[in-house]
Parts: sequence; C-alpha cells; structure tokens
Amino acid sequence: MIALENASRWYQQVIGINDVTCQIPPGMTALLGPNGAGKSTMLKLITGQLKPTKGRVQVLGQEPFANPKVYQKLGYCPEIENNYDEMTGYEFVTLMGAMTGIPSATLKNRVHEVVEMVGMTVNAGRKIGGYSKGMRQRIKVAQGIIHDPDVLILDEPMNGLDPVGRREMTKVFLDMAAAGKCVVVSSHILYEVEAMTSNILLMHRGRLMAQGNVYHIRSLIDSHPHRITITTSDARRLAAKTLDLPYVLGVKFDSHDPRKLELETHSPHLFYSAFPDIVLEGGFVVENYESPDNNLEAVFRYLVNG
Amino acid sequence: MDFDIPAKQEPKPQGSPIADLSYRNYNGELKTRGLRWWVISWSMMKLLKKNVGFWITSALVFLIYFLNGVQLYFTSNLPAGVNPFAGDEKTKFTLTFLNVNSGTNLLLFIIALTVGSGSISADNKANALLVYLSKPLTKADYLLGKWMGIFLTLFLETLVPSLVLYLYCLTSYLDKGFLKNDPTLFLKIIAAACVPAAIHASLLVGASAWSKAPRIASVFYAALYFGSIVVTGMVFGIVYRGDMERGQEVMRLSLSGIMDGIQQIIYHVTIKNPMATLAIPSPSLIVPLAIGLCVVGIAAARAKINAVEVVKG
Amino acid sequence: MSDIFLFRSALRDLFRPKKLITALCLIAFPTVVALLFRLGGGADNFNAVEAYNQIADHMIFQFIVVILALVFCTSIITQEVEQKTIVYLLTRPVARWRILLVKFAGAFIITTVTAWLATVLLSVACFSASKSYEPYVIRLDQIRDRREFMTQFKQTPDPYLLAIYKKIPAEEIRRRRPFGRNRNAKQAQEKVQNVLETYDINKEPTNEELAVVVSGVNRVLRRENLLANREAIGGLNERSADLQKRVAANPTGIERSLVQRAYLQELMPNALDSPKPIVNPFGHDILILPVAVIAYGALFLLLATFLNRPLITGLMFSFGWETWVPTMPGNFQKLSLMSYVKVLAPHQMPSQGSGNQGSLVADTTVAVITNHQAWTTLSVFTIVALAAAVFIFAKREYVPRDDT
Repeated sequence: MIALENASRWYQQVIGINDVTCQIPPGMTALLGPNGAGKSTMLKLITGQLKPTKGRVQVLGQEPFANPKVYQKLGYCPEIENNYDEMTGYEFVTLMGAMTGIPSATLKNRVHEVVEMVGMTVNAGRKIGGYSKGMRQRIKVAQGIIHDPDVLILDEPMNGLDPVGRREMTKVFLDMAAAGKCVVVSSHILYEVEAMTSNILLMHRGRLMAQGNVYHIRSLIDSHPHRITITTSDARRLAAKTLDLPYVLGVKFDSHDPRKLELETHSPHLFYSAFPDIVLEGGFVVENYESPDNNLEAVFRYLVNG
Repeated sequence: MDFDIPAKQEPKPQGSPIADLSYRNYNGELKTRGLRWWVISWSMMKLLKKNVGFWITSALVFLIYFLNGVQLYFTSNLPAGVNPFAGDEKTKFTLTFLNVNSGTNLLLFIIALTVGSGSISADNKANALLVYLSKPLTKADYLLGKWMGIFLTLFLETLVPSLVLYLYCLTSYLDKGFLKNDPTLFLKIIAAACVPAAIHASLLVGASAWSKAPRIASVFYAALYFGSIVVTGMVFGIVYRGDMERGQEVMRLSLSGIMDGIQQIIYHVTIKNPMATLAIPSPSLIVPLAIGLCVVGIAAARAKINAVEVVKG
Repeated sequence: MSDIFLFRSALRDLFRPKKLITALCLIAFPTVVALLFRLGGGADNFNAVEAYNQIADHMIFQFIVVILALVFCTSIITQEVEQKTIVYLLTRPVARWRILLVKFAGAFIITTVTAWLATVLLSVACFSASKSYEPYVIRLDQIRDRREFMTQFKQTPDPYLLAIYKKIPAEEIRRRRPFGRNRNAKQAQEKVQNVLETYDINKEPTNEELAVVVSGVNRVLRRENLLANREAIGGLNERSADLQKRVAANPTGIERSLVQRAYLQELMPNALDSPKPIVNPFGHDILILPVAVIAYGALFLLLATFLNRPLITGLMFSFGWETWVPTMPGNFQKLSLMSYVKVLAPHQMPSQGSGNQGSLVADTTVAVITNHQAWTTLSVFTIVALAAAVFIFAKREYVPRDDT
C-alpha cells in the first residue's frame, strides 16, 4: 500500500533519509530507529508533507504530496505536541472530520464514536490547552482515525501515554490492522511496539537497515558471522596472527587493495579486546578498522535496551 | 559581585538516602562569571550572524552613510554658487551626522525588531525562562542581558558607520575646519548613538516580555512606533494645519520624533531644509518623556519575568 | 461543508479575546482622536469634513487597514506554522488552494468589518454636529488662473466678494467678526487685507500670497452664512436663474458650501474651474475599504507563503517603501499601492493653513493616476498576488522547523 523507491530526502546538507526502498503491506508495521534515524522524515514523505529530493514515494498508487485523493484514505497522527489550544477536543475532532468530508448529518455521531474509542469522552469538552500529554496523544489519534482511513500513519503515538493508555491505544491500532488497514507506528523503543507487531522496519542514520520479522532479524544478527575490515601495511602477516584466535572463522583479502583484509568472527567482543595486543606485539601499523555489521547490532541493542 | 562556589563539594551523605554521591561526575570548577549578563547578550547577538535580513538592513544603513559621505564630497568640491547645500559651513559636518542618524531611523527600528522582538517572547513560548533562572543567574542579570543584547546591536549599528564617516571627514576635511568647528563632535556621535539604542531596547524588552510569540511582540511594537507617528502627524495636520513653524514640537512626540529630537539636542544644530526650519527642540519635554518610556519598558519587562511555567488553557 | 467549518474556525480564531480587544482598541482609536479634536479645539474651530478626511486617510486607510491586513493575512500561514498545527490542515483531503482562500476570506472579512466599524464610528463622531458639517469652499486645485483670481479679489466690484474682503463697514466687521473672534482671527484678517493691498496685478502671485487669500476666503465662508444675508450684499439678481433658486432655498450643510462655490465660480468664471461636486467621503470610503483590504491582504498573503518572517518585510514595505515612494518625483508614486487606493478614495487635505510652500506643492501635484488606471491596477495586482500565493502554497513544503 505504501511504496518507497530509492527515496532520499535531505535538508540542505543534512540527510533525512537516504536511498530507502521498501514496500509496506497492509497490517501493522513498526518503524524503529533511534532518535534522528529519519523516522519522522520518512513518515512526512509518506504523508506528503515533504517531497523526496530523489526517488519516488507512492501511497495507494499515487504521489502523496499535497494530493487530496491520498488524504481521503490516509490518517496521520503527527509527533508534535502543539495543537489548537483554544479549541475543545470536540471542536478539534469535528473540524478535522468535516475537512475530511464526512457529511454533516453523520459528523456528530462519528465524532462521539471516535472520541469514545480513544477514551476521551469525559475530557473532550475541555480546551486542548489544558490537556496532559496523554490526552493530547489520544485526541491526535482520534482525528487520525475519524474518517476510517485505509492507511494510518502514527508518529510516536505512545509518547506520554501511561500504561493503561498504551494498552487502550494498542487495541485501537490492532483493530484497525485486523480490519485490513495499513498501520505504521514509529517508535524508538522496541518493547513499546512488540505487543503490537513483529513486523518491523529498522532505520539508522537515514538508511533502512532491515525489514521483516523482528525475531528473524534478531536471530540473523546472532548467527551471522560478524565481519571486520582492517587496513594495514602488512595484511597477510596480520591475517596469519588473527587466524590463531579460535573465534575467528576466516579471513579474506581484497583483490583491489592488498592492504585490506576482511575477517569473520562469531564473537566480536572477544576479538576487539584481543586485537590491540596482536597489533602491539606484531608491530603492525593499522590505518583503519571498521565493521559493516556493527551498526545494525548496536542499533538493535539500543532498541532493546531502550 | 562575583561569588564562587567551592570547586569541590565533599559528598556529605549524612541523612541522605543516597549514600554514594559519586554519580556526580563533573569534578571541575564551578565558577560563575563576572559578567553574567554577557552570556545572554552574546547568545542573542550570535543569532544575527545567520540572519540574512539583518545583514541586508545593515548594508542599507551603511549605504545611507556612504551616500552622505558622497554628498559631503560634492558639497565640499563644488563652487559655492552652484552648491545647493552650501549653508552654514560651520555646522556642515555636525548637520551631516544628525541627518544621517535620522535618515537611518526606520532601518534601525527594523533591526531592533529583528534582534529584539524574540528576546524574551521566544523564551516565553518555549518556557525557557525556567531553565535560565534555574542557573546561577538573577532576574536582573537576565533582563540586563536581554536589554544589552538589543542595545549593543543598535549602538554598534549606528556607531560603526558613524566612525567610518568620521574617519573619512578627519582625513579629508581637517583643513576645512572639521575638528575646529565642532571639537566635541566625536563625543556627540557616541552619545547620539546611545539614544535610539536605549529607547528601542527598553521598549522592546517590555513588549517582548508581554508577548507569547516574537510575531506578536513585533506587531505590538510596530503599532506603537507607527501609531505614534500617525497620531502626531494628525495633530500636526488638524490643529496646526501642516504649519511646520508652529507644529514642529508636536512632530517631536512620536517615538521616532523623540529620538530625532534628542539627537538634535545632542548635536545642537538647527536643521534647514526647503520644507522648513527645525529648531533645536526644548529638552524639558522630550528628554523626560524618553526617560519615562525607557523606565516603563524595563519595568513592564521586570514585572512579567517570572520563573513560573506558563500553563495554557 | 468542510469549507464552512474551516471558515468558521478561521473566524473564531480571530475572535479570541486578545485579538478582539486589540481590534476594539483599533476601532475606537480614530474616534477618540476625532472627539479629542472636537472637544479640545472648541466647536468654532472644528471642521468635520476636514477632520474626517484627515483621520480616515491617515488612521484608517494608511494605518488600520494596512496593519490589520498585515497581521491577519500573514498569520493565516505563519501562525499555523509557528504552532505547528499546519500539519493537520495539509494532510486533509482538501486542496491547498481552497484552504488558503477560505482562510483568506475569513481574514478579509474580519479586517474589512473592523475597518468599517472604525469608519462608521469616526463619521458619527465627526458629523453628528450638523453645524460643523462644512467643507472648504475653494481648493487650490480649483484655481485655473491664479493672477485672475487675485486680480478679481483686488478689484472686483461685486458685492459678494467685497463683503468678504473689503467693503464690510468697520463697525459691521467689529460686530460680526467674519474672521472669528480670537487674536488669530484678527491676524488672519489683517494678513489677507495686507496681501490684497500690496499685490501687483501685473505679476503672478506667489504661493504665499495665494494661500493667504484662499485661506481667508474659506475662513470667512466657513463661519459666515453670507448667502442668508444676500439682501445686504446684493448682486444676486445678476446671477443665473438656477443659482438664484438654490440660494433662495436657504441651503444648509454641504449644499450651502456647494452653492457658495457655484456663486464664486459665476463671479470669476475665468479664474475658477466649475466646482467639482463634493462627494461625502464616508460612503465612498465604505465602498473602497474592502478594495484596499483585499489588495493589501493579497500582497501580505503572498509574502507569508514564501517568507519565514513576513511581518518585518511587510512592515518595511508598508511604512518604509509606501511612505517613501510617494514623496519621490514624477511617476514614482505608481510603485506604491496606497497611491492607487488614494485615487479611488480621495481625501481632501487642508492646504489653506499657513501658505507653507510644502503643503501647497503637495496639494497641487494632483495624482498622475486616473480612476480607471487605479481600478485596473488594483484588481490585476490582487488577482496576480492571490494566484501567486495559491501557486506557491500548493507547491511549497510547510514543515515546521524543529529548532525550538
């Protein structure tokens, strides 16, 4: 239902998201990543507030930017805390509902229905200016689902909600997903969304790092050997030394650059602690070492630990 | 009034539920600065560096000074007969500085809005006052910092181009009596540069403190500035029937009129132009008025700055 | 349906207490000034038309309209971006041009109504005393031949003119004091008489001389109902039948001024142009105010679509550019919006005061813009500005900056 094709977006020099290609199917999908990973940028591209600098974004087969046809079927709950502080919750949801084209005959009933769904019946008559974070979150969700959209985009919807609120909101989202809608929830804490879905998109520094089942990705990270590239003056001698270590599985040389070697290991931690000693003993000059797999694992660890 | 906090506070866990204070991982010196307000002022002025509008306006200010320099060059090099500006040779230079100061009045107001409208209102909007005042920083430091941020910007905005013009005159017209005719001109320039800077700064901190957003402070101050011009202009038109001779004192009562008037008192010259002759205004009315405005502005800001979170609704 | 809700919420936003109080202050502002003049200056010196014209021109057209249009029309976008709520509007299935135009309509209506209320109150404050409802009789721009004008006054045998200037007997003058009762009045009368004594009819009069005489004529005609004393003056039967009929009807108020004007014109047909009808500026202003609001509003809306801080640019334009441009020579004033508005809603400014050269020059350089040009320019400008605003708004990204 949502498709990104080599989509990139940068703000002057700062990259928001970089070359993201993915498809988001119906059902519940969690968009995970640490702060500044580009989650909000991606959601703003999907909701058509931003235009991709490069590549394409399609929602329900159409370009979303300023496209009323897309918005007819798209609900969005932004991450901002600001709102129309002078309006009451009812007024706000009614205005939003009216703007999505709900006929006036059914509007009032629909507003009450939605407000009840998000558990705001008691407080919706008060001005939004006096709301707590949790209430603001709920009323934002209410305006996002009022027109029963096919695609629901929720940017950090759990922020500021208490455990009861989380459970209630989770139920609302799951019901939508069960009805065959495409629901995207962004978060920077894995535990928050684990209760809802195991289908995740993992972002880091603007790039899409993984897409799929969270447990599957997890086990891949664990079982997959960890690669480390080292650039040194004496690659072959260093390779010989590292092969002595029991947890190093193999070494490859770069065919273009004789000073580069790539090794695989099951336990990067042990390797990293032993590596300085090897370098000192052998008198190697190491120009650079890096691990392409490091980021994903680090990100994952961050998400799990919160 | 510099006070030091002892650099290392020994953890004294007596009675505290937290026995181990080693989590306080900053062990360096904690010393409050002598010029605490400067931190605030500097943070305001730093923002201007990236503000394109500010640089354009500043360039226009310099342009006006430059054009006046050019005019001075022509009036000094044309034969006296064809010279439309040949007036009083003695006051020529002083008059140039006065004219260029009032000529940049509007631009200075725009710069004042750029630097000053958000001075306190932006903090109001972000509830940042809480953060500021939780630092070792008094309300007076904060207010002085904001005030000085505006004042220094405007002061330099007048002083720097004035000094450039002054240097030009000094190098070119020393033989034509530049120093001899008005030996205190240098001091007058500095004093005159203070006038709009102080008035704008005081009123703007007041307007800004009472606004929830920079935009609102801008509107309010602009309404005050132009509204005062409109009203005095109208009194001038209706009561004095546009008679410059009799009505000029009224024109001195708008915000910009006050600034021009005090600057004229400082430079102490009469303005003669084809439209009218503007005498040196009597200081007995406009100087107290200007001081009163400054006091009102600062007092208004003082009354509003409180470290209490603004709860909306 | 959605438009109505959006429009309603746009209106309601402008009706928030703080904005309402500000608007009420602005509405009352011109009226208070007018009342101050009326009460402060004394009934004798208060000229309703003059006061109305000045206040309406300077405070309503050049201040209230401009500043309200600036604030309301820029806040359509700026406020939404500032409080970050623009997301909610832009992710609705309503085309962006509709959102913009509906909100613009709200701002337009509020600004217009505010300006209207201010104008109505002002006119009540000015014109509620019918006695003072009198415009000037002669305007400088009405004088076709200046020398002829002065000569007529110096030499004319016509009793109407003589009554004004010379031949009112001394005791009659002392009794009636046509110039007024204070020291000023005496000075003014002496000034007029001196000028007329010393004027050389072979020379073109100076601006100073001309202004003194015109101001004297107006001063007397404003105070004196000479038409009512026509028996004392005489000469009426030599005038046209139409005029005689109008005089006989004992006109008051604006009609009296018109008759006086026609009378003078018949006396010196070579010196004066036929009087232009006095249009009550109030009705005209009410009609033109929305035009001014929509033109300025469209401009400010356009600024707001592509500038982060449109307010300061708008202020520089309205109070810098717009006041500076009309003082430039030649056709420069065609670059200012206000000069077109002023052509549509002309306000006569007093030019008879001191004989000061400045005001005379300003008054005699009548607009180089025709009525037709003004209408065309303003409507084309408004449409182009609105179209550009809509175009930019539809294409540009309005994502609130996260720098706070």
